[in-house]
Amino acid sequence: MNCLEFRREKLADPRRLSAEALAHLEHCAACHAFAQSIDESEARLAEMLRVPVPDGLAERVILRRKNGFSFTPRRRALVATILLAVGTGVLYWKALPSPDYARLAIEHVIDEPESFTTTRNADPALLRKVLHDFGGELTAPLGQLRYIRLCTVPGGWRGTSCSRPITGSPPCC
Amino acid sequence: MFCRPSERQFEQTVRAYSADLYRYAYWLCRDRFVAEDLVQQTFERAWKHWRDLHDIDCVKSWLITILRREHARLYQRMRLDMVDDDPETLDLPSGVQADSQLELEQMVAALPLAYREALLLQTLGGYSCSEIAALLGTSEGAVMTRLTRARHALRAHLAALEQKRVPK
Repeated sequence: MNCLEFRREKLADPRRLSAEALAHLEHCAACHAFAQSIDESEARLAEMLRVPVPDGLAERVILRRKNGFSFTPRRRALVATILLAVGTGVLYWKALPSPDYARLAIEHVIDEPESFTTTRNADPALLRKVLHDFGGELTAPLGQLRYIRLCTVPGGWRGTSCSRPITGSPPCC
Repeated sequence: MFCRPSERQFEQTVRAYSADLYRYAYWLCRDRFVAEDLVQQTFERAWKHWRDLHDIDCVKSWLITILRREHARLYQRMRLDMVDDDPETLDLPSGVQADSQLELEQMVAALPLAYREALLLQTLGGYSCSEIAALLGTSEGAVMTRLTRARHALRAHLAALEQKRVPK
């Protein structure tokens, strides 16, 4: 065996040398030094590769087997994150103002029973002006109005509510 | 509480090899959490097929094979860097001014997976070139080449760093 062959063998598997390689090592000082430096770097490499293992890893595996291998902590965290995201989304969605303004208007008036018994600011011209300020237009006459007031709609918007004396007619907002 | 023989054998296997598998997984993925998950999934799969294990002496190699498959599954859509370039052309970090152990760590992590895997199996697992070849499904010659190139690359870069440190 020559030096090149020895070095190839040493680099490929430093801990398992053939009889030929060991014989070469006996009488070649240069290869002896080479082998020594390889062994030193191998020791460093082995030390570096031995990263610390998380405490209780084996116990966690055994426990999971006993529980029928349920979710891994990572999968559990993923599921929790998805649930949290969905939950937050639902809460946020619930907090948004409903786009069903007709329903909103009726619900609003239900909480305003005085609108059916009070006469206040009931001038149709005033309603027309307020609507105009909001960018709207009254296209048909509403007749006699009993009650007009400004009110707050969820989401920070403003609206008007008014009532008419005719029973069964829809309130407008 | 009494365990069935297979359960006891499985638990002994977990205690004996979970640390080795974790270290191997860690150096494959470089993420402690993913590494632990890989170990958990490996043992989960191993338990499902525990009855198929006929030779308990082969259990470590069997577990490593499962772990490698689990790891590959993680990166199924990614192209693995199975490179057989010359060590001189390997894109290893250079000029790092940190501690030499950290430099070595960075260099091992920068090795192409094909080289790194063979090196890990030999240094951590204690496998011979022929055993690694059987595990990786390649020839012994290919494994020897990968190991030689990996060590050669690491040594060359470490030597270059040492030279930079020597005050002129």
